Amino acid sequence: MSAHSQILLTSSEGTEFIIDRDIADKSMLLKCMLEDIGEIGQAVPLPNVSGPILTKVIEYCTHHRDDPNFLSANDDVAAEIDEWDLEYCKVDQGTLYELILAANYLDIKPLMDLTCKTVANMIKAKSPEEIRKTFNITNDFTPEEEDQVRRENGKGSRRLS
Amino acid sequence: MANIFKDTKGKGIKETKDTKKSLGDLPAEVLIHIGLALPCREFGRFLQTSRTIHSCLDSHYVWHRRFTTRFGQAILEDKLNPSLTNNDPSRMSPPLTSSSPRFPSPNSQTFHSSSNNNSNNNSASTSPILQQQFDNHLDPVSAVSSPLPSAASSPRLTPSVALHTLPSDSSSDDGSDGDGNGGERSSSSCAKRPPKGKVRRIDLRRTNMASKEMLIDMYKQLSRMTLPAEDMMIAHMGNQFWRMITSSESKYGKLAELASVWWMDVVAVFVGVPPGRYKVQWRVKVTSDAPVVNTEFRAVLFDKHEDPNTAGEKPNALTFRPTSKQEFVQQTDSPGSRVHKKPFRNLFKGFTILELPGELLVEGDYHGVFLQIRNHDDWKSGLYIDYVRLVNLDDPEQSQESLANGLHGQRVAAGNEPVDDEGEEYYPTSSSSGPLPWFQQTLGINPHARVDPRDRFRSRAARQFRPVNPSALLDVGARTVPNSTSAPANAGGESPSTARNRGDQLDENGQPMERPDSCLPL
Repeated sequence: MSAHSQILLTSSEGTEFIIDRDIADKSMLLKCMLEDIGEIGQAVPLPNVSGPILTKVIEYCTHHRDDPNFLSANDDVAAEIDEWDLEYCKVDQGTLYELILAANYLDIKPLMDLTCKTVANMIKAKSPEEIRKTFNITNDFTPEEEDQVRRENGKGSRRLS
Repeated sequence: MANIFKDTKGKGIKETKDTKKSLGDLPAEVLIHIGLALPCREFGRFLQTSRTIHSCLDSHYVWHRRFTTRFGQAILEDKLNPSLTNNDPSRMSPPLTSSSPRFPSPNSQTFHSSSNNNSNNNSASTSPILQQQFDNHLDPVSAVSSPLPSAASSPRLTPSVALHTLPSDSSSDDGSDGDGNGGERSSSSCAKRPPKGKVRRIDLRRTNMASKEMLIDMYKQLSRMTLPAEDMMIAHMGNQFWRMITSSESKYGKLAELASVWWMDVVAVFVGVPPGRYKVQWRVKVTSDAPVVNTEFRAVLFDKHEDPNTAGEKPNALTFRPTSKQEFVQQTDSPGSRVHKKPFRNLFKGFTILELPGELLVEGDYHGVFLQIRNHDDWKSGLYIDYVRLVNLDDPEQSQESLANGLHGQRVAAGNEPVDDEGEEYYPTSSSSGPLPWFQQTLGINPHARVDPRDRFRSRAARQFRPVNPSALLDVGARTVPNSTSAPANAGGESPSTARNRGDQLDENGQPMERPDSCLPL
């Protein structure tokens, strides 16, 4: 199959996107689907991904198009994020969540790693209360549970509390 | 809440709406992915945020993933082996001969026969790290000679050992060490050790057998950035050459004491060291220059998939080899100006921190750090090792502890700094001992004056009163400071760090009560 063949994707609101096959192959979901059913010339519906998010995802895949280590390089969670990726992740939280969900749905591991790492970096150096505030998490622990969890996991939080 | 995502679809990226979203509403696999990207301190805090997150992340699967990501799978398998081999006789195989170049061939028949476990120690030098971390904890001689394994091992188990001995395999560990079956244990693991350079096959089914609690315990233990002497691999440990002694001078209650040895080889291995810049600090006491001059202090980085036993041979090591005592003293926290004036044994009163020149740069992924003290040249004695640790220069709190940053200056006392194990307080930090250092600092007393030989008797008598009576302290200080003019560096120019050091030591010597046993973990 030539690398120049094109794939038609439809986002949740029906917007159509035409991308190259090699970009679509960055997504394990699309890759497996296309390998299974072949290119039938019809649009692939992606009901879980909205247009703007899909644009972002395609932007990411296009930038990393010729990255030979695309699937293997990101095994180490501790690795540095490169500059373009950093810039790419400078979006508001809602977009970031949607990007994560899209990466998860489309099964694009490097994008998943990148976005999750971004969230992880936002969590760093924050106390549990600050994390809740930042990410709008409701504390649904009972006081006893919270105490218990803090005792189990809070040894490291000494320096912050 | 799930339909929030639907709401925004079709409307594009709207911040006003989106900021209402909660991280807790993301699917579990996403939360797990985020959790895996977090360092341990942050992970612990993230767990505390909500019930959903806690239940998603505090699972066996996540801990297993976190463990293997950081430390590699091999360590886990090695840890599981002792208990597995006992249940599975088919895995037993004849012992291989020890071929490690780090250790001498058993040239001395006397010590070879003196304890069966000594040879075990030697062969263990090529066996997995975690087992080795355990080896120094038991006195091999008494463990072998005692008929009852539990009687031999249990009183020797310090609380820290009790922690090392993980619940699921504690019985088998103790048993094999105590009743002399240790040979089988280590030989079987030896036999499984692949030849150098080969990638070992890892049995996932076996590593999944570790319980979550065991994983967490091991995670905490391995993520330490401070390694006490007990957990080092010391050649010829446990006989007339090296021994573990109980001492209140140690932060961990136990010291490795070098009686006399020709082949000195001390190895400490850190695994899963997060990326960053590190300084290596040994807390040692030297009473003679023989163990330090011309001794190599090495530090080697190795990849987490590499065998730590071969890592020591790598050429690109950070090496410090002092050729004179001056060179050695310059790298310690002791003031260097008295080097010429004093015999070596008087240079250091008590323990000193030796910081290797140069720094270790861990980049990208987690790495292991292989530290070694070696000198295979001459007979030497007079060395005590308390611990070795890595100081992260990128961590603002820790980097102050580096001698390079606050050299001979404002930094806190070398013996009193908190042991920060990257969020996992495996050992408590309550080593600070009583009000004495505070008095000394506040009143501007130079505690070093008391160790001036000419003043020994008076100050020893005075020492009895110091902790109870601050005015006596003042008095002693006033009287003894003039005596210390023989050591010009001291007469007011002494850094607070060394002052507090000595104060610390004074507590130990004069007031052993001040260092409670609570400095041992739990």
